[in-house]
Amino acid sequence: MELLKNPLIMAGVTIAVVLGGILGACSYLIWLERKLSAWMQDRLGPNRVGPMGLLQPIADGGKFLLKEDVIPDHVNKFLYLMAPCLSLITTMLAFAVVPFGPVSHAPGDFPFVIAPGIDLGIVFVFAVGSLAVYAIILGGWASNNKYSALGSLRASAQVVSYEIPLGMSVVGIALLNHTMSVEKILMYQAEQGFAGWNVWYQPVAALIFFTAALAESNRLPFDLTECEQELVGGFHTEYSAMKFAMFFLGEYTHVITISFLTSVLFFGGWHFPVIAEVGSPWFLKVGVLLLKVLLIIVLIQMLRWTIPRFRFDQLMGLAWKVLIPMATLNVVIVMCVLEFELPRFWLLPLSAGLFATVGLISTQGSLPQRSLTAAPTAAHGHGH
Amino acid sequence: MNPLPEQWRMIVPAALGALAVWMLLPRDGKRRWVLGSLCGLVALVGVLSTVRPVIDDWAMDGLFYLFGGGAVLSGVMMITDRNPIYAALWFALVTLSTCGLFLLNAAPFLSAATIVVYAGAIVVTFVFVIMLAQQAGAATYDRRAFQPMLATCAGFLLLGAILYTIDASGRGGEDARPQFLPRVQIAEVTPNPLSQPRILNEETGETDLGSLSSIGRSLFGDYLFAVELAGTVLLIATIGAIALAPRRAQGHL
Amino acid sequence: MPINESDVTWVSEPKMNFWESTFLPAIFQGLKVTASHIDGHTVTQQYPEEPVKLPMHYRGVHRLNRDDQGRVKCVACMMCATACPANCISIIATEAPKNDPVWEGRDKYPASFELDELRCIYCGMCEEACPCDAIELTHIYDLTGKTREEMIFNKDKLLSVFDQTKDSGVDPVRTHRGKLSGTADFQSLPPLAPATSVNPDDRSAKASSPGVISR
Repeated sequence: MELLKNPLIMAGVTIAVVLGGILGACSYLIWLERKLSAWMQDRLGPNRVGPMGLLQPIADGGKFLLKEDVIPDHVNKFLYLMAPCLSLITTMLAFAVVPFGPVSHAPGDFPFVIAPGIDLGIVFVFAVGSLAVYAIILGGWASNNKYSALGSLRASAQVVSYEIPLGMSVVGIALLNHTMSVEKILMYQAEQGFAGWNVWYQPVAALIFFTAALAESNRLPFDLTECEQELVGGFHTEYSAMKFAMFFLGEYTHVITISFLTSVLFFGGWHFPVIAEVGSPWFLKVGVLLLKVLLIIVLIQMLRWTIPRFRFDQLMGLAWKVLIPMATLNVVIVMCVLEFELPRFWLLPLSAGLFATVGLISTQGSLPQRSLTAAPTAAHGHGH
Repeated sequence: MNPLPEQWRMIVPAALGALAVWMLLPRDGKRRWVLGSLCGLVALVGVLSTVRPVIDDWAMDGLFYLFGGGAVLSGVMMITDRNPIYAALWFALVTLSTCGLFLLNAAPFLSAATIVVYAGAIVVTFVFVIMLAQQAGAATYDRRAFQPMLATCAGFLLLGAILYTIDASGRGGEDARPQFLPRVQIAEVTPNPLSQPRILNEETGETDLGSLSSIGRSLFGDYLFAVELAGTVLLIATIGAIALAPRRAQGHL
Repeated sequence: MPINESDVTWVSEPKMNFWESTFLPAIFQGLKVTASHIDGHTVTQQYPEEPVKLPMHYRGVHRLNRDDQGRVKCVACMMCATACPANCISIIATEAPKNDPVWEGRDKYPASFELDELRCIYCGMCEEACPCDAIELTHIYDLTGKTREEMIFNKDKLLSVFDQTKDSGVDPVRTHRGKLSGTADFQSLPPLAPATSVNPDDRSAKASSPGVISR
């Protein structure tokens, strides 16, 4: 136990716990996703390996490791092999500042975050997350395949666009809680109790954050980069065996990270009234946090089979015409509330008002409509 | 002032570096890359032995050498690589190494912002454009340097001047700084209390210098005018880009 | 020829109302639909464990029917071999001996009847073409073999398929009561459901010769 007081050793233990936890969680979340998809489609899902197919992830992992490692001809070998590693590294790195329990700074305590006390937690997540696009771009380009190249081109445009609303949606929270550190934001909410959860003050920001994060992680309905119907497999068309698995793990780790961030930033982290208050034992807090994260992941998995995929112009339109102006106005609202020292509960009606305004603009907007009556007479005026 | 030959510790590595870059720049025919890389390595070691970090922590020293050397090496690789995609990736590495140096100097926000803006957006856009533009492979005029001699000389003269100035200013106190203009009397200004670092811990003298809030106070206190000006310029650039972008008739793709 | 302007109907996008334009009701409605399906109800069949439920019109391995005297019903008219798009049927016809009581009332029968189950595309044209309902497709779907020769079914093998399947309940002898061939004269027909459920308003169901399979 004396050994654990060494910060380096403690960090190593935490990293080992997180790494093992995430990899195990990934494989079983994939099992859960397959089961959920099956149930939603009135199927049974994996049920051959073990009871309820519970050993399926292990069988899949073994298969990934033992499969032939195909490197196609005419690929740029170095970049081709580097891309999946980058994918996994960047997404894992982003988890370094995400607290997964009651954060403790005392030496010898399990810190429940890999890098405690990082002052600019959210900015770090975004910085590392913005590097994740390299994996997709390089993988797609190095594969020497037009589907891969198209997928990676889409990915770069999508990820660069959605970084902006993602970053702007948390500015309001940083202003309200006077910090960018994820663990301090969590503590701030927990000390205020149930009414202190950021989602009550920033519901629109929560919506924007969730949408943009979903788009960043290339999940349906935003999986334009790998949509099977158009691009075969998108950027990972040419990848097989463990290299494909690394891309997949990277994507799933990203999903886990954004679920943790959503629950920590907006839904009070480990706090839940009565069950897990500030003075509760650590296992209750961890349990509550993991339950919240699981709920968000299940929501993401259900959205996958609920909302059809966006068209690419709709995707870009959503980011640039809806989410970014909304996020900007949201920041302005928070600034006004803080500057004129209005009570914080004013943010809820103001956010609702913002949402209603955006909805009204999109229905009542007087944008120049395509005139359909004129179109038939023009020789080339048939629209799309 | 020191005469020029006394500055050999700076001049020799700079000249060697210039020679290395000149030899390594892509051109028609073969490059003498063995000789060039040797020259470059000698120059790098020479510079590193002169401009040592002052702290005596082996971890910090190692990281400094890693990031500093990495930045210089990646920079050289960026301008000498024939493949534009690799050049863009080397540029990303330059940015990341520079961010590492920022982190070493206790500027985490600057480092994260640089990663987001440069490595995450600008270089990605470069790669994007290169992929779209060069689908048939690099053109011949892209595979050799344009004016290698002139570019190398100009670049290293600039670098030498900067190194000389840093060296001269680091050697002595206020008076040892090189004087290019006659010293004028500046009015005494009371320092802005907003921009002064706040003391967090009285006993250890720890301040919040370099933290997010102090950067915010500095940007929106001392440099408010510059920040607003830069923002306005960017806004004008955006509007200009939208105005310049070709318009399609409504309903046509 | 360009489409006449009067034939073109221009359709405009329906205008969205306030709630629709926020997309939230649609998302919640969709979530409700997907969530309501998570109730354990499945439509899948667990094939190796559960016997598979095939539709009545399933087309599997062929058989050659026997008439009421146990002789092969086929009269070697070559209609099936002609109709077969995959050219998988080859028949050698022979004349029935005149005074043999076994072949009483028959002129021709197939000396050899070979059907290559590997070439067959299971389209059922032979069954349609057969004037005396001698060749029929059964519900046997799990036909396997180790060699290609094994998969070429001769007359005996096709007859043995008939012996196997005639009493299985799903493969009753579908017959026209021997209207053309006179080789069989069943007095009663086994009850059989229509192959598919047919909408009475469906024009294609009112064919010129409806009810080939009927009670």
